[in-house]
Amino acid sequence: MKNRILTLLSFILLSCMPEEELPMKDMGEISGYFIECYCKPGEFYTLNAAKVSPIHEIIDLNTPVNLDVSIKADTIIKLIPTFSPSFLGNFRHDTKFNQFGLDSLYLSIYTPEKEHITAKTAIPDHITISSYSVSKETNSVTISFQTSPNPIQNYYIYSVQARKEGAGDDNLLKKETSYLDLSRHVGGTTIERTIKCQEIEEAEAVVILLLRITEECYNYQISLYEANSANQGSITSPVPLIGNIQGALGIFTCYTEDYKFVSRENFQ
Amino acid sequence: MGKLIAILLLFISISLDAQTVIVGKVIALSGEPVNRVHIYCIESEKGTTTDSLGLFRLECPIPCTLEFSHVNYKKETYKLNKSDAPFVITLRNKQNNLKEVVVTALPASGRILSSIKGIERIPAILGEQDVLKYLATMPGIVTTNALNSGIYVRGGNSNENGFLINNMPIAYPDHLTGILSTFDPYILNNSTLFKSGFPARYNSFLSSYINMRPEPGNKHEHEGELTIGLVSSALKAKGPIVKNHTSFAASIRTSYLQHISRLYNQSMNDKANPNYMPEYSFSDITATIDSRLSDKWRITAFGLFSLDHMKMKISEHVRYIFDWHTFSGNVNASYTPNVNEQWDFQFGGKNAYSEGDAFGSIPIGGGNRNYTLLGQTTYSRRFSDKLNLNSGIKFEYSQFETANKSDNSQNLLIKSSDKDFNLYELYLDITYYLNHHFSINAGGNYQFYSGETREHTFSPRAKINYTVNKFTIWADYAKTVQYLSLYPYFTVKTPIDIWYPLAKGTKPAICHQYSIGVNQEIGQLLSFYAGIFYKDMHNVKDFASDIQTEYSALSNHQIQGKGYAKGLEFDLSFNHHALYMRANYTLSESKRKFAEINNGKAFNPPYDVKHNVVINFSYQISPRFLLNTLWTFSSGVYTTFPKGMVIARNITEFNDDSPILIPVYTDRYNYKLPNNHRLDASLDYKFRSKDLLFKLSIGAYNVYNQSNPSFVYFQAESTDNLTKIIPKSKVMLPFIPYVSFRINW
Repeated sequence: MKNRILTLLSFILLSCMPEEELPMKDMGEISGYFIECYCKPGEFYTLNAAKVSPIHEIIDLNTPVNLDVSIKADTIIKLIPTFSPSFLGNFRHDTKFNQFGLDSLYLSIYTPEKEHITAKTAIPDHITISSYSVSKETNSVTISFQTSPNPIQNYYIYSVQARKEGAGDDNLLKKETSYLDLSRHVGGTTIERTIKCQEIEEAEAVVILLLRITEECYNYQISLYEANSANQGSITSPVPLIGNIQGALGIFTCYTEDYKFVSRENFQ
Repeated sequence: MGKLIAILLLFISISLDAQTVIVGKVIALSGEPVNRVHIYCIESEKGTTTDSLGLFRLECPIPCTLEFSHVNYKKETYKLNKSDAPFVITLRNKQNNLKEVVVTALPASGRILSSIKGIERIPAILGEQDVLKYLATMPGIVTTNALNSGIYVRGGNSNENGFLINNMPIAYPDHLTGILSTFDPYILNNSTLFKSGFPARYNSFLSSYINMRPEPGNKHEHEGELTIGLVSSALKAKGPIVKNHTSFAASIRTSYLQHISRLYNQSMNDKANPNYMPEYSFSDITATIDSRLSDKWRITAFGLFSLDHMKMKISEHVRYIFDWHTFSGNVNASYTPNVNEQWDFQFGGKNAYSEGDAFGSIPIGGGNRNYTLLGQTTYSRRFSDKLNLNSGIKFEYSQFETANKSDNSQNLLIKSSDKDFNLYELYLDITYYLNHHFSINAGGNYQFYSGETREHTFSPRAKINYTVNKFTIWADYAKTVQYLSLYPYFTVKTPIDIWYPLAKGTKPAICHQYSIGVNQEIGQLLSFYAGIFYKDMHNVKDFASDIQTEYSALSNHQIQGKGYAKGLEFDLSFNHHALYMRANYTLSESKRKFAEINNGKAFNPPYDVKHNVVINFSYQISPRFLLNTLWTFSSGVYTTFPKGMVIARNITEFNDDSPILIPVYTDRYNYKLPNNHRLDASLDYKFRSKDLLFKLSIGAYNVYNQSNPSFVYFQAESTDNLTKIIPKSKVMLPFIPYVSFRINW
């Protein structure tokens, strides 16, 4: 009887959220470039650049952009268009980013319209996961790490992926992410954080990822998250993307990363 | 010179076989209650007098003949044939040329009166009768979204309405969504909404004032009510504490929707893609005490406490917990040395608290609280048949606290936005009756605000009224000032939004409203009202778009701009025997302009409803059956839709470069939603058994299941590398049937 009532209830509740298709309207002109450049120590310099697409038009990922891109590290590195089929990484240079001796990076882009796009980023210190545990009992992952005495170094992204064997999206059971602003913690302390994930009970492995990011990157990631959430059927207020590039939308930043791959036999 | 006094009687009745308890109110044309009017029922030879609130209660058979007499007004008689319609009765006085008692419709002179009978003529959604839901069916007042519990008056924002009990401000006891009731008409059965021509005593909110007067209770015998609905149940009682001297009225209500949600969530089998229901619960307690200490002294006390809790689980990782509660209380001591004078001494307080914890991607924890202490003294005097005066002084102290929990494990609290202010107020209102037809009302309200900024403001008020036979025309002007603004957490008004006082360097919001209205009665059946208004607003507040992080509530990005609202209103009501109909239409436009929003261009705020139509039809099929229907239509409001689209990289993907489609929001309120319309209907069946009166209501919200959009989003459809965006809307409240049961004793 109870099950029948609950089935009826779930039918009523699920039928309570119908969807309707609405007409697309001309939302007006939008212009400018969208630039994303994440520099990670030990990886090649890559940059994504595209024109911002008006929402009422069909978006073509293959539309090439013609930009003059350079990054100033210890020397000036000129990034070259790759014409890759994917938009991601459509400008790159065969030099790996080495953070040694550097405290900042500078981006300079000239557009065909002779506009100058610029940005500057700090380089966060290296980050290490001090300890970690994956619990089968509570379906949770707990890590600890040391914060920096310098408040501007205390922005993090902590992410957990529950996976089946193999790479790729098909084998991803669930990913949970926490964006951490620990900038108000004074002095270096050990922080412990736990992410619960129901899918751990059926996962073959868990990937733990901890990023140390800049304050600008933290704000940008939150704005990406909120812009996305505003479209996920929630009532979150939409916000513009909050980046650090002068003359374009997007982000130019560095981050450091530590990760752990934990296979099922090492779950506790 | 003639005396032009309108006495408005709002009758409500509860059928008790041949005897009917008539509860009425006697007020003057100015809206002020008339104290010590003698009401005498010729048939039963019973009588009573109105109290200082103009209220009376009399038990007599129907039909009956009522006599109204007062030392300052001419004695009148009125034959009451039935008791189930809302009456507005104008009595002629010694020098008035009115020839007969006139029954009129309710909307007049920029104010709307509500009565329990009017509230019972609209369908009670989910069995929840509510003062606000009734007021929202009146011209010039709109609601926008089923998720939104706010009402919007004449193009103003929902946070620009002042809610008062006995003329004292209260904390708004906000429950979730617009379909749950907020103010119980069992206790708050005499409410007046002022949308223009505000008396000088009302200030500190721009758009409207809703003043509710609690039921004085039954000083002779005990009575009660039990209501059982799908969402909540309520137990209510009123009666004497000391017979003929002191009475009480109280209501307690609690919900049980959370138990159904919990059962549903526990039975969730699909753990991979769970679709959890929010576990939402609410309770409230409303109570009032009324005591006549002597012929000259009377004390009333009122209290309202509301408590809400909501737990939402998106996944094991992402969870939200919200708690909020409000308390408002006030005590009013009235001293009436003679029939021409009255003193009121009032003090009270209000408190609103909300707390939220978000676990998951962006862990946020914190709470905010504000509390206010109030004191007020008013003095009213009738100097002659031509001249009335109302005056008063008021003091208010308010404190606002916002705290954020930055780290759950260390419970580190950051409390950096404590703010407070003092508000001193002085007001004076004079009503002068020039002759049989003309009256003039003029007044002013002076305020001194002392917080992070200091401001002196003077708000003049003026109104001129002309009445001939059953036709009335009036024009008014009012300046209002507001010091508070509401920081919205979401796109719709929610109970956890945060009130902020004036930020340093900002000015109070100001509204100048000009309004003209006419009212024509045709016999006792038909009433027609038409009004036109224009509002000019300066320094209105909003908040700059910013990301919401752990500390966003602490950084107050208050911005100020200007705006206007203009509109036309029409209302036609028909009331004959068993049939009651009302139809109204509002045409309005509202604009706001901020340098920081939409590049300084004026925009239509999300509560700008251009066309609004309400048709209320109620038919008493038999003494036992009552059919109520309410059809509403409103133009679509503006919402925010992305203007562009970009492809971003997700750096939290491990060894994976899956791109994500990110909308680019630039302008606010750039997409007009489709129009809304729906029909609500209910059928009430009443029957009596011994001393109990039973009422069974069955009904439905959105009878023909119209897909009224609650919010808009988009879906991307991709083929090869080409992506097309399709806007879609979600409908939160389609057809919802309900049943409720009520027992009165």
